[in-house]
Amino acid sequence: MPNLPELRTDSFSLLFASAGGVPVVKLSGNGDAEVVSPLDRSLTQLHQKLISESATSVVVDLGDLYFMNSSCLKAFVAWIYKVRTTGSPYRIRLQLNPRQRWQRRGLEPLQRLAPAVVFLDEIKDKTPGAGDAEGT
Amino acid sequence: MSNPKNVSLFLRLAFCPSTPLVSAISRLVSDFCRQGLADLDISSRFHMAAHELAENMTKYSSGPAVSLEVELSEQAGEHLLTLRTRNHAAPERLREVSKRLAEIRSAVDPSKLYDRLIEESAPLEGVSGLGLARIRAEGLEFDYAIRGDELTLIVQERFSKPVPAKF
Repeated sequence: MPNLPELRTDSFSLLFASAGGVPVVKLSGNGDAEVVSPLDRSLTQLHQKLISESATSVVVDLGDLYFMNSSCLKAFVAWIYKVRTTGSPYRIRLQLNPRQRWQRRGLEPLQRLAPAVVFLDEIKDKTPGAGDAEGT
Repeated sequence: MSNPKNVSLFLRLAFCPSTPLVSAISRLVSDFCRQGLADLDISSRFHMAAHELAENMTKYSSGPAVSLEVELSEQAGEHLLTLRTRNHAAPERLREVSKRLAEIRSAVDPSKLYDRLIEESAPLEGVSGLGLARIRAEGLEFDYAIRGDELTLIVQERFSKPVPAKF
């Protein structure tokens, strides 16, 4: 996905890509207080872009996201609320890492906020011995 | 006669509120839980709880020092992991927060309360206020005490199974 600034800090990144014509946002690292404002800005810009392009869906890859605090979750809440209340909502597919157990617990409330907008998918883990890690 | 409480782990961190410290402190709590309990689900939830509590203190403490304690104990066959934070706060802040704390503590359905707070906060810019409700919604017990200008927040998890003592 061109023309949107990516976000990189020492412990967090938000990068854009595309898979089969569907825009992909990849979040990595630790979503803590230091990234709340830039994350909020990035999601706002992304929303404007997706609306202007009449997008029908976006994928959010959380495979390498180790933690998200409630303020970062709130940035997602604000984004989802905007999508839910826009005239032509697009779908947000959150791809969860099953090894990061906090993700399903933490993100299911976002699906309940907008069940017609937010979908949770688990990334299939092909790593040998997968299922015993919880990144921090 | 009441059963004695056996404490197998006690960790106390006293620090100046600082945003960069929050992640380091929550990782430390998570690592201790992971080593002591060998339970990834609990260590994951305590990592989240430690992060939210430490961040809360950093945002709202009015004093130069705050503290966070982790305690692993056993009493009458029941194992208990406790996270406790203490900070001083301005009287107006304590008045403001006490109603929300009481609501979170007494919630019969913590997930429903959390969903309601998410819905209410959704259109508001720059407002979160979800951290403590998240702790309860993710299945941890929550309590608090206000004495003078000191706020104590307590998060707990109970276990009936034996806990490996590796400390």
